[in-house]
Amino acid sequence: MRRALLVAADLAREALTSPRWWMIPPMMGLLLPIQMGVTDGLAAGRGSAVILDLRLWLVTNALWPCLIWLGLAAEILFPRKLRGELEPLLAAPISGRELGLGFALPAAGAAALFVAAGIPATLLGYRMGAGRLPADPAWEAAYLLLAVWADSLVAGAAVLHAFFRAQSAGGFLLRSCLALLPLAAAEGALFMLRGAGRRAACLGLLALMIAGGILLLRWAGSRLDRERLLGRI
Amino acid sequence: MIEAIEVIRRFEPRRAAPVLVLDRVSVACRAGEVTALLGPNGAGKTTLFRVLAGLLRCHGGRARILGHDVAAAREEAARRTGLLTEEPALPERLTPRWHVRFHVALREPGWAEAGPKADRLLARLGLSAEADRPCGVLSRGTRRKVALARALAGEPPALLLDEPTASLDIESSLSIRAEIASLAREGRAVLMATHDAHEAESLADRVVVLRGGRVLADGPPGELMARTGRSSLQEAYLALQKGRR
Repeated sequence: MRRALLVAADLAREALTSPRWWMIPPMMGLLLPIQMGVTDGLAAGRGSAVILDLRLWLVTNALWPCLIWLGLAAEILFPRKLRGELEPLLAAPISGRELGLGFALPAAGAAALFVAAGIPATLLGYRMGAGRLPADPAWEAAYLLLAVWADSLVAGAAVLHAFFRAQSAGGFLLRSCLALLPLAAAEGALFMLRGAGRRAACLGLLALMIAGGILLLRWAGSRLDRERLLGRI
Repeated sequence: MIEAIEVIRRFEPRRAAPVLVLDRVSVACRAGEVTALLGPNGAGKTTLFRVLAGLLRCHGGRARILGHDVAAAREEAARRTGLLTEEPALPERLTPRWHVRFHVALREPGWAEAGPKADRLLARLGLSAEADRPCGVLSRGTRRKVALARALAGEPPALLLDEPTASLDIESSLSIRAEIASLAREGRAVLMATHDAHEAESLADRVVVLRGGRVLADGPPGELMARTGRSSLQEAYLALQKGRR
């Protein structure tokens, strides 16, 4: 675990030296959620709850965590692979499991930070637009938190697997984006259940998604193959 | 001791026939010795290093570092091995101080203790003044030295140095050669790949000549020169390569 944290710290440090990463958190963690909330609040103020659900749950939940994973991998991890910079790390006394965890942790940490800032920002925006909070803000916040985590885990597994296996930038993006298909299906189901007021079923599906995401992430981590990660030999 | 025993390694591309890159290669490098691998491009030097570093699997034979089998006990072997890769492979935006400290901490417990150890390694290679500049702005020679400092993280008793002086100016080459000699005097086993026969002659206790994934000759430089009747290792090397054709 200690070495996984070291790998995560190394990646996070490199990410934070990039000016791009100093622009993304305020934009995605604050501006975007507030803008979403304001639009949805305005729509809800005119009696349109459907738009609120669609935007809040589909756009914010599904794309946001995927973008964090994909952005970090595209900015730091995959270029290291393409430039052959992973060789010294792969030769170090570190297990595949620790490496997988180390690669996954920075994106998970970033997702946690964005969720912490994004949920209050979304609700604030909603209040600004509608002049009131949603009917049950605690439920909305809890639901959003669980949904983002579920999506984060699935997206993380897809990006990690793509990073380990892909041999080109295009292949990496294509493999990573495959996660969007099951996520969109799951989010669609959640949307239907929420619309029908079936909170227990929603929570059940979310629990299933989180459990599945954890299993997928473990599976993706176990797919590390040093030879393949070295790239073309 | 660094040992490759009858190592076989093939590459199996998806749409092409398998290529035998290492064909029963045996190399041994004892503590306190410098062993040089000499061979043309494609001879299998980097592949052998990657096998010894646990990055590539053997398809036959065994690789061992201080008695630890690289395949069966990868982490134990890796803890005792320092690898200088063919390219420096440094993160461009991070500093040498951070990067070397990170690699020390991967091999030894304690992030706090890793700091002074990394600083000592950087000072040893004359890099203290460059320690806080991003790796991406450093000269090629300095990057090479940073990569060598990284290879020394954790004080490994076995060193694999892949073309340590390739593309360097004379001063940088001499400085790195002096460091390699010093590392061997400290009792480390140093296996280095080079294209420079003069470098091998001046540094190495043993020379292994490779071609097409096979060992053509193995012995002290003087012995190889005597065997081929030549007065320099470069001439002996060329004679051995020519004889093979």
